[in-house]
Amino acid sequence: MNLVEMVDIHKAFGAVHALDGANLTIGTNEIVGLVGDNAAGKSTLMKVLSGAYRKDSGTILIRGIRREIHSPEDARKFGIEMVYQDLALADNLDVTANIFMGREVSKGFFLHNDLMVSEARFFIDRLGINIADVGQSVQTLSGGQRQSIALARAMAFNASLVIMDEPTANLSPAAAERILDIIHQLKVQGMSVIHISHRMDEVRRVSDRIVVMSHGKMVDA
Amino acid sequence: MRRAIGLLLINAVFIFFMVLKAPVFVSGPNISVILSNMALESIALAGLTLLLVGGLFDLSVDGVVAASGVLCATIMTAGIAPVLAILASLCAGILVGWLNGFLVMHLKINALIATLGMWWMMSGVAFGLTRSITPYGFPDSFQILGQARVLGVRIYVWYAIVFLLISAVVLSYTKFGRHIYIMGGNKEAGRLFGIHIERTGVMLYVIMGFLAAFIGVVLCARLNAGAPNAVDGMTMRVIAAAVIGGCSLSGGRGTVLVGLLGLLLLTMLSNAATILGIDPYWQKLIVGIVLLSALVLDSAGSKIRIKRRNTK
Repeated sequence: MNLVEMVDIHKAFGAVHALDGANLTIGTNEIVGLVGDNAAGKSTLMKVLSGAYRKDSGTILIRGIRREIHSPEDARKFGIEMVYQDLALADNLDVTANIFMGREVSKGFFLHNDLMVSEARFFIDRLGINIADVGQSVQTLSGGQRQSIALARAMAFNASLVIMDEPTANLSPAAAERILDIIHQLKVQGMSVIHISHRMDEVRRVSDRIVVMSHGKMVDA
Repeated sequence: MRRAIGLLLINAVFIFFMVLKAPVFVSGPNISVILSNMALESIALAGLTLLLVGGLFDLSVDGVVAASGVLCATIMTAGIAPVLAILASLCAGILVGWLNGFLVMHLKINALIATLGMWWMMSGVAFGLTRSITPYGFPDSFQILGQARVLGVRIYVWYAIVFLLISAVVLSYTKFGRHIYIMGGNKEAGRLFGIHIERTGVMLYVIMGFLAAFIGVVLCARLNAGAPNAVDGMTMRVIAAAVIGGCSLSGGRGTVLVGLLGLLLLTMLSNAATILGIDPYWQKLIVGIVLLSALVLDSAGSKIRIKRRNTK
């Protein structure tokens, strides 16, 4: 059974049809590369799947069951996490606070900081990210480390599908290499990944399957 | 932490300078005056820090303080029990806070403009209700709320301690406080991760409305009069103190207790200026210089941080 099936998805912004009957299938424990020109509809399709946008029409099946995704919280409930291109980090907070953003753990009325710090440390170590102190402000981290934090956050809460929008954009070759390693690790740990990128060589290297989008629909797979 | 240590040092050096220049500055009665002067502004600081950290602003505080005090006084003058007058004033403050929140968070009106308009309206209410005749002379049971002493300390200093502690704990140790920091740091990210940004913002304005109304009621009890012009420039002084204490006007940074050190510095400056015989009109210049110095240092610090990050 497929993990996710998106069938005949439509989404318009005024007169612009960003998605025009898009279909996408993701298998369990599969890395799918999603490629296409600018404005092909890749990011819009993924924002529909992650709950940032609502589709106008179409069907989403998760493990064969029809689901409605109206918000990022809905998507998370179904095990879908997205790493946004701008990373969606709060620079004023530390690594732990960013990993637990919106999912803070409380003990009674108060934040359970000890637990969150130890779990953040665990997630960071599991991904092999080189960050000495999870109490460090995200503002002080390098581009690659920031990308890793966004990835750690996506996989921290038992996600079954992680969507990455241009995860290696603006990174040095060494940092990009590290991110590709992490994508591979996600698969090893049993997750599926959708990898959106303009860098075809990277997509070919890490993906089990490549889907090409153009003008809001799939043109090749 | 660096800001707290820096401000502690500045405050300590200032006190040391004043001890040399005018020893009366550290006398018991003068310390009591400083604490009393700070107390009501500290209550405003407890609410305004939350708003500033959330990237929001409220210029209506002076107006709400005046209107709620006058409302409380007017109701009591009509022969209604003080407890009902207090409740009505606090509810009015909460309502005004909610309106501010609705205008800013839901109608997306710029916080400066929306709350400036509200300040104007509330000042109008305060002057309109009194028609320049200040209601005064209330029951002892009411006056005690602003005039009593507990353990030799003015009761409103205790109010300030309680509200400051609650605000500091909420901001630093609760989920709500964490969401305020996220809201000020990157509200779009917060939204994507399920934080109810609008609801949080409205709640912050409601808290500020309640605190402003509370100050109004206490001031009315302290003065035994509902004066529409009882506060002048409190909002700006408190915002200045918060900024000196490290609050960023763009949100995401600041703590209540370091803001309190900023307020202590401003209050000591005014007090010292009076002791040293400096014209009150020039005191505003001193406050302005301190505020601008803090902003310049803050801006320089931010640039250094960004430069360091970009060179990583």
